[in-house]
Amino acid sequence: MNQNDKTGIRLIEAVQKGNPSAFEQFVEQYKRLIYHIVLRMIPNETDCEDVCQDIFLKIIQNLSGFRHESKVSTWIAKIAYNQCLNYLKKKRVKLVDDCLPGEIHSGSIDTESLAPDAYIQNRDIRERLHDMIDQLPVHFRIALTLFHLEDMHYNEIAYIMNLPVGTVKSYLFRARKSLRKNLENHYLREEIWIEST
Amino acid sequence: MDRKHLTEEAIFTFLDGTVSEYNHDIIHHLNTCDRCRSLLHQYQILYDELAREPENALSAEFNQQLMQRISIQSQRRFAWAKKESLYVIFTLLAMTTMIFMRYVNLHSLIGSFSKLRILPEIILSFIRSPVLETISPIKTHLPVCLMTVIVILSVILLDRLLINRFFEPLKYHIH
Repeated sequence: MNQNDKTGIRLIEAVQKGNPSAFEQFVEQYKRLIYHIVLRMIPNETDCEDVCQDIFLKIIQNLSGFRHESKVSTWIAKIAYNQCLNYLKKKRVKLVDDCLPGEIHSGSIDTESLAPDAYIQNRDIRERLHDMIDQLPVHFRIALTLFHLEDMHYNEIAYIMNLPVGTVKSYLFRARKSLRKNLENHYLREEIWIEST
Repeated sequence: MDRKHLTEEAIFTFLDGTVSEYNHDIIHHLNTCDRCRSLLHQYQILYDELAREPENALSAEFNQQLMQRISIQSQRRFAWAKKESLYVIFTLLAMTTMIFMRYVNLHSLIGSFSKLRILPEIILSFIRSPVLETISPIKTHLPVCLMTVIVILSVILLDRLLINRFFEPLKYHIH
């Protein structure tokens, strides 16, 4: 158990006792994680903050349900993930989608804004990459976010997404491969991708 | 390893930092193969970008808005819970009264209250009695059992549904 987990458990205990400052600390500590999950799963930014608030309300209601079976961050991420899935189901967003490499087309991306400056090139790659990530199916997006941004292990992601570890690995593998291939297809013409490597 | 190019899976394993007995071979191959080194570089850029913090973040008012929502929700739930508690208590009282009137003879009950002072003697004589089986167990124990079950259920209901679930957020609603 690392320091963050200890702090998380201490905060949950304090929040359960009704300590308001502990609750504020709790929000401060975990809002970044929740926001990352929501941002990746719900592309509509206007709804992001409302969904984040809904997740915190859900967490408060379920505090007594935390059984120390997982890390606090994993437990929170699972609640956030399920809440976002419910939101997307309500909005009738297609959830079960399978993306094979090459399915994401960069044809819709504007290529005229490229500039020679390295900073702009990097920024351009970043923007295009985020556009491409947004086009990936939800499960691919969330697996990428939890692994790369939140430094979670395969088994933690599998627990959060309620999937076998092998499936999570497969999602990550295919998502990265697909993103690289699309970036390569896009930038091969511009020679930026090659130059930057 | 030298002759064949690295698979993408091998590159992911290497970049993920997963302990692999082939890591040494991978490094050796990368030192000698431009194609695989280029692929590794491309994935390295991809990894760096994926790990980059998003530029947009939650608004500065997020915490305040959250507290306000919790406060409003708690007040609503408190009002609902109060109303709901009254319904539950009223229903339980009505059910208890009905059971009581159906199964218990009030006159004999009042009479038995007056005999409370000789209760230990009655209990002892009951225990010593050789004809316990002559007492109808259903008629005697059903009201008591039902009332006990109702009381236990109502305690669980009040505790689980009303107190734990709905009164919990109240702790945070006044700041």
